[in-house]
Amino acid sequence: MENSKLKRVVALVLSAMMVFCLFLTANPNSLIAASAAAEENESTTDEALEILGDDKWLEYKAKNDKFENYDGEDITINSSNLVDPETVTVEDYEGKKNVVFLKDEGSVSWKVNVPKSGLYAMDILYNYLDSEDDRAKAADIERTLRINSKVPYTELRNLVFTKKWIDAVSRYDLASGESLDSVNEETLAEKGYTLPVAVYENGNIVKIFYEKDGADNERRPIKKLDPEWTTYTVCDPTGNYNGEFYFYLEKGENIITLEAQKEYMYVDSIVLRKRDTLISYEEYKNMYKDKEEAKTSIKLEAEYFTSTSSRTIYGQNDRSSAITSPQHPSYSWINDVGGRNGSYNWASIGQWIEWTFTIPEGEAGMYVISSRFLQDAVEGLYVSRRIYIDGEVPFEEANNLQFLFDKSWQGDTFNAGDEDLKFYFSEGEHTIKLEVNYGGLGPLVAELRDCVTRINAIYVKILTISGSTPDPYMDYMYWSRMPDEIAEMGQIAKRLYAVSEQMKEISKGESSSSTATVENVARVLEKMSKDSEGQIAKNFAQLKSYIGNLGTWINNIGQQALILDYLLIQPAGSDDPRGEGNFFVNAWYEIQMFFYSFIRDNSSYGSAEAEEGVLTVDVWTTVSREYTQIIRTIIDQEFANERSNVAINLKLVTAGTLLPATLSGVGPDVMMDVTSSDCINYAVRGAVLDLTQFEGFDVVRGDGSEANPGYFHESSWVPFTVALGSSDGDIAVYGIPEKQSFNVMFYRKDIFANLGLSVPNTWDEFNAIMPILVSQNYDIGMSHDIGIFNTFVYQHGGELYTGGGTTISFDQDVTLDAFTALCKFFTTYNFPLKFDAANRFRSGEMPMFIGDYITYYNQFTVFAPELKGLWGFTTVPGTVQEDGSVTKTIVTTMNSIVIMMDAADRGTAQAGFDFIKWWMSGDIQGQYANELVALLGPAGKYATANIHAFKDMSWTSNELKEIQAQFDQLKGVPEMPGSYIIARNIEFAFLDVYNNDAVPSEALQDYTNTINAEFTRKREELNRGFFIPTTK
Amino acid sequence: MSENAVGKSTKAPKPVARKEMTKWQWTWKEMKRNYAAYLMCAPYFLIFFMFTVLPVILSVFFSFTVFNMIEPPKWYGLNNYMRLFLDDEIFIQAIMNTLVFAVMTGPVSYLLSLFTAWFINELPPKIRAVVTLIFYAPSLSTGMTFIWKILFDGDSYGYANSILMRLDIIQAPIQFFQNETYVMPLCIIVALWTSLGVSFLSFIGGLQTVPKDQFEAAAVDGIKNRWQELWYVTLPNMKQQMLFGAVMAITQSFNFGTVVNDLAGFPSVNYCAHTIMHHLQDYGGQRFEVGYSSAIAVVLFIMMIGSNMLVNKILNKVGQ
Repeated sequence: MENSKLKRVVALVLSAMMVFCLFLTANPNSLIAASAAAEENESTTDEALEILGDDKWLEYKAKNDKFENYDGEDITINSSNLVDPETVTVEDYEGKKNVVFLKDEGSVSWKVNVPKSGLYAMDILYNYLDSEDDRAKAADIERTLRINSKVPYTELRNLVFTKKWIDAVSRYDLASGESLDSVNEETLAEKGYTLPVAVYENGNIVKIFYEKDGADNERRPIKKLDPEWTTYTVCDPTGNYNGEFYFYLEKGENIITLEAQKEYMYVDSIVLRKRDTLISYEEYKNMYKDKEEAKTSIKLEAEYFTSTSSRTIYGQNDRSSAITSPQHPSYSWINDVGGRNGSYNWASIGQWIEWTFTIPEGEAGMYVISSRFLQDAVEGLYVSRRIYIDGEVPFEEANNLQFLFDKSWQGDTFNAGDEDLKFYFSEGEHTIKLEVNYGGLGPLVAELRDCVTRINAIYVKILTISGSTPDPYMDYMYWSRMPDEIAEMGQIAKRLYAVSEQMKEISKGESSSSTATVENVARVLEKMSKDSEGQIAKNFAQLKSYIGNLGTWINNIGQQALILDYLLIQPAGSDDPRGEGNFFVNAWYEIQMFFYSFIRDNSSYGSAEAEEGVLTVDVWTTVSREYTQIIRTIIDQEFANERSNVAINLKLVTAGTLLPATLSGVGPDVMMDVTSSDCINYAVRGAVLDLTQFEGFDVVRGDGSEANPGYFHESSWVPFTVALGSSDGDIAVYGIPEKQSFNVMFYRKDIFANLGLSVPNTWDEFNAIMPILVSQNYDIGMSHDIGIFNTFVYQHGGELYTGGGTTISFDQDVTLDAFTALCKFFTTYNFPLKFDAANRFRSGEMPMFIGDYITYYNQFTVFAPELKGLWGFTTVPGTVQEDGSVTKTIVTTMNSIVIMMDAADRGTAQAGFDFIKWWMSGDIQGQYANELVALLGPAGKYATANIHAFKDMSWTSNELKEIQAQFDQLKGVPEMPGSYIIARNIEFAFLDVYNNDAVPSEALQDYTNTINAEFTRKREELNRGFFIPTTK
Repeated sequence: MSENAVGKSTKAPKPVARKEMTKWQWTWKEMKRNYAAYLMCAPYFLIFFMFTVLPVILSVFFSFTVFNMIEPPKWYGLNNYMRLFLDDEIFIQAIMNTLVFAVMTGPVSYLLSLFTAWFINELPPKIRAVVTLIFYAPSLSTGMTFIWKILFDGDSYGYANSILMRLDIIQAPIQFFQNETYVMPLCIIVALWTSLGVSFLSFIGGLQTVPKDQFEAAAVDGIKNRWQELWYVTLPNMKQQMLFGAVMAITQSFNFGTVVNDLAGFPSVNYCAHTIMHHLQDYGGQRFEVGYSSAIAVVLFIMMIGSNMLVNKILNKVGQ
């Protein structure tokens, strides 16, 4: 309560000041000018409004169920139906003629005449780029489907088209009479097979011989795209509803549009057809009631799948159980597929794995499918999969295979509650596909999502009425200002209670933390609705944290992690697989593990001991353990192809190890994750090598031309590039850019849309909308660190250094003006100096703030799942120049990889450079970034410096456009010896202004001599003269 | 055999007087005689020498050089010291701050822990155990300072700011740890709070070891009040603990840098809470000037030795 009163005071004080400012600064003209200039940005807020106004599928269904189903012939739409004849078509792709090529941006429309008004289902026959195409990405394809330029319901905004990934494994069939025992790596090599090889017996894989790494651990095969024409039936991409979607089309001409969200695709045809409904399991049984029971059983190792929907779903090693097959107490063998709790592999809705197997002659019949699995992700509820047999969902119940929670491995047969499901398999080859879905939980999740969206809207409404910390003793007259919302709160509470009841039913009457999360929100809403004046202000903060919890819960349940060891296709009545081994098996396994631990070391990230003639390069990194493992895996898999005679010894060290190690001569050859200031600090003391001397540097550096674009944006080189002796001296480059981060402006689309504001494009517009936001109790967030300071300086046309890097520019008018402009936001407009951006942005208190793009993007994705689609980011506002143009320059922060001086003595320098060149190449960085996302989920986005890899990551086209726009404006700040002194003195000057009302320009100017003296002293101390190169 | 034995006995050194030998010879002789004791000392001595004595000697050496950790050191004579005392305003400020901290967390906290210990010692045993824990807890973990960070957070949601704003005392949040006015006082308060550490615990231990019969004897001898009892009986009995506590307090007071780092960041605004430790850290860690920072370390070392000797002198006066 103290808190809330305090917040009220803050809000009042701030708003009073802001209103005052409004009168002082804002004149109506500037407002109009602002909105006119930002028309482009308006589209994004319009879009937010449109999304907010979307129907949900259930609403659409309720409105349209009354219409008749279409029951005529299939209507096929192809390239001849295109609205725009200019649309790119490809004459021949993968066996189809005249297919439409859809780029990763823009949209393509088809015209279609339907003979009858009614409800139609839709199939899309699509294909995608193959691995050889440079534009091919690892991400799924996403499209928005519009009919007559409207999105009929919100689920159609992100239709997901998966791609097919296969392992590069060659096939070896056992000859008749040949047994598996007679086959091993040597005999396969003799026959001319290269690993990995899958050995088939009677059409089933019995063993895969994987490649081995230096430590004799199995290495997973390389993945590649296997483009094939795939039929996509338009259905729910969010996984909430089973079965296909339908559309109501009026008789006559209709226009169907696919709008790009992500990725390229080919479309051969779109088919409008009559609706299909799945039969029930009872009917299925009836259909096959005269078929025989099966007699034989087939074991399918889960890791021997034939294809997956994602590059990051791969066979992996489990050491937790003694009886995972195959298992070895010390060697790491690939023995399962999927992901544990927290993993995003085969856990996100729509991801699938497909297995192929062959039923031997004369063995057709009714089979059950059993599996040994581990589900330790969703406690209290279950994890669900949808099963496709030969590409079709055989019956309704196949949509909802349930895998119950247990901390240890389990064995079970696919069932529908109390009855094991039997499937008919004829002789010959069949496929089983398991796809992640919500199963029976779908409608609950959808309901909760909807509730959260609504509650958020209500929350923001309350926020605009009474501020972020309403005073419980003040009368805000909610009843007259938001009567509809108050009524709605009651309804939502009822809906939430209903969901909670259903959840209890699923978990057999038990309450769990899941139901508590839901009920907490319901209880608060109920109270607020019953007694709006008494309870809303009182419980407002509580509501905020409860919505957060609920959002997080929904996000977690979206992660349906499951690991499969193997599948058994066997006669009904057979035993389920054992979950865990018996006591003796486990004990023996543990004993073996114990003794192996004396002989073998699996924990090191290093590669095996170098053989003769192999050069070992020591590479150190300071990223986390998970990251290191991924780097190691990629090196193992890919680097050998690049340089076979170089072994990479990767080591994870703590930051700060480098200096003492270098001092004592045991440092690495290559060091990753070095900040730009450290890089120059080492360089000026002769500890790192000038990279321009290496073969291949030209390719990495590039010259900006088409033919030789280089790996990185021009700005990223600036901190690592110096001129020796004088500004015109020889150029030396000491680091290869690794990570590049910069600020963008985040904003809440919903709040901007509600206020009718557009996102500011210039600081003038920024200043114009500031009073409006503030008068509505909103805050704006911006840091005041050296990054922002530099951005202001460069936007004003200044530079940080003068005199070729020997002096600071704090005596220049332009720098002082920039600093004054920056200070003004905090002194005059009272921007908060300290704030928790993620929290305030989520709650809506701070609908706009400027911050690092990758940090906050990741944070919001995880932290505020309930806000998905309601926030966006765009470029930082620019400064209007005298000629009317807008400079949107912002500065970038860099991390680099360096080669240490010791490498020159050891003769590993060129090999080290080759490693860096390989590691920072577009493909590898793209792969690394995607692996991170697979491991850490959508919040694992990585700020690679490689501009080509950047395009390869799973950003949507819109996001990519904004990042690209900001990339074009990036400017690097040179790094000079002694630069550490700058940031702290800017901070001192700033605090002097903030705390003691000093005049900004004077405060900053005071530090000119201090800084220059430090520069001079450093230059005297160090032998090497570093200067900023003069630009040509 | 017997001849040998006889011969050996005749060869046995004849007893020599201390006066006949130089000091070194005498020491060497004694060392040989007590070789077992030296052998047992050796492991500890080696480690102590390697990691404590040697670094001190090395830093004295480096303080006369220019050394950047990567290139070999260059001889620089007394220039580092000249710059330190004549051309480095921040160092002078750091010395001032260090002394302020030393006085506050040294004597003040020392007396505070002594008296707290004394009071607590009077409590019944069970309550005493609980109260001891309460007082000792803050120094258990260095991370405990985060409580103060939350309390005086610069965000308008920080406790102190929110209370002050609620009471309409202030209008906008105060940046407690980024405002020269508040940084030093706050750091001193936190210093006092955390400093009731090891010395406090040893005092409590010391108080318990004072023999009961001495109090009775003192009572017979005519002790008039508790103060006299404390001064003439309790304190002289726990001189060892007091010395230990004093050494700990001094070391702590000079090493207070990390707490300031946690609270006010590094460097603190306008160096207002900059101590010698910070200065050392700044030059050694950030500017790679090991020579210069060694000179700082030497000065700090001398200051600590000096104050230790001073404390020894003072403690000798206890009970007199």
